[in-house]
Amino acid sequence: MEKIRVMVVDDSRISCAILSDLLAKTNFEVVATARTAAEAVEMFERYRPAAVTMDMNLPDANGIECTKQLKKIDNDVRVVMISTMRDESLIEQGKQVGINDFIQKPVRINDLLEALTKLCSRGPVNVNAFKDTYVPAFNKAFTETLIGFTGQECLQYAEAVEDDSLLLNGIAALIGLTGEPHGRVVIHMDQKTLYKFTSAFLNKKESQMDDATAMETLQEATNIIVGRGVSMINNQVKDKELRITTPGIIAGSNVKMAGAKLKAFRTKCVSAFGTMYIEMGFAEEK
Amino acid sequence: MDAKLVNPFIDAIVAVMPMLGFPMPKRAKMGVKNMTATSLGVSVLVGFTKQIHGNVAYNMSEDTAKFIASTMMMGMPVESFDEMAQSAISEMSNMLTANAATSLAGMGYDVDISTPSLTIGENFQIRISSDSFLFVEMDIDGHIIELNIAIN
Repeated sequence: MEKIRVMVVDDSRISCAILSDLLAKTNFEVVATARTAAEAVEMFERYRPAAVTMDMNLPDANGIECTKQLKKIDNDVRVVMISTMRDESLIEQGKQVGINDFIQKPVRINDLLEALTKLCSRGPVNVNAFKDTYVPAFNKAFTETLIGFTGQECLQYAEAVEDDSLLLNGIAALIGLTGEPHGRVVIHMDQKTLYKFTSAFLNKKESQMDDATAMETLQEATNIIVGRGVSMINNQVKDKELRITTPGIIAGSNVKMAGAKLKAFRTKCVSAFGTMYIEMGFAEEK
Repeated sequence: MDAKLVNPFIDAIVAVMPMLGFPMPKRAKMGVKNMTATSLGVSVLVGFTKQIHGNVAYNMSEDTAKFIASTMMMGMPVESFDEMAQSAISEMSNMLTANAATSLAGMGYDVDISTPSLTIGENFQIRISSDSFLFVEMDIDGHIIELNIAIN
């Protein structure tokens, strides 16, 4: 699992060392430490961590000010306030600038981990997660299912897409995704490819295939592929339970599927059956 | 499939459409289809997860879609079924389905609905079930919205 990048900001070298040590064996990776607000800004720009532990008393500014500056660079950064004193008014001020949590020194590793984990999993799923986790999961599920059921391999190419609309000439299986994020996956191909693929899937002769069986097989195959992909994603991305809807099939020529303002990705899969496309669309949550 | 699951969708049309500026919808034909529905021009597919599984497809002609979009946009003329009109129809489908989902929740079924998928074309087939499903035609001022409901 990908490690979450953290920066530790504290004017005490010892504190920095202690916090880094505490996080060393976890899935949070300390990519930078900073001892002043100025250094924090510089390090933040360079290393762009997802989360920051912020000591409230820095030599050149207080933690609130420093947080404000970091948020100007990346408003999504998660900040945990760390301080020796539990000061309610400071905590309130912190909330105003977007500080997400507060921990009192001496820091107990469990408190810190809990705070960081809560923060980093609560956030919106961002575009990088789609590209790095979601799309590869569906791509892999596709190839695994293809090999598993037909013995055929395929070459996959990522294709750039402007939006999540598509023009269909053939047959498409559409599965909706609910949970976080919501979206949809569409697997489509032309009639010829469909027949070749589905006959191999069922271990039947192409001549024995008919439209209804082909569509039902595509439906089942898509169910398996997307289900597999979602399992992989749910294993990697905690706290976001992705679910799939029953597949629907759309068949026709010159059929336009309108975009739903989802962040779109397309994978072209070339195999002995022909070319199949996996279209994935995810809602970007703000 | 269970006929009592159809009522939330009919109720949704009756509850939501007047709020969007339409006269009270009337129930027209009702029946059973086998596996596929043929698109009348514009179809919107919405999927269900959690305690209810399946799909609902709202089916209408492009003229009806333009009429609905125009009414939703305060009578603004809709010459072609463009992106804005498509957005309106997707939004309507979302509202209808969400309303039905709330009723289903009231019946004790916890559901989640997917993003609506709006599809445009002539004569394409939509297969939403592996066997038969119910359909209901709702008449709104002479325009028909066909509800194809394949859920259980």
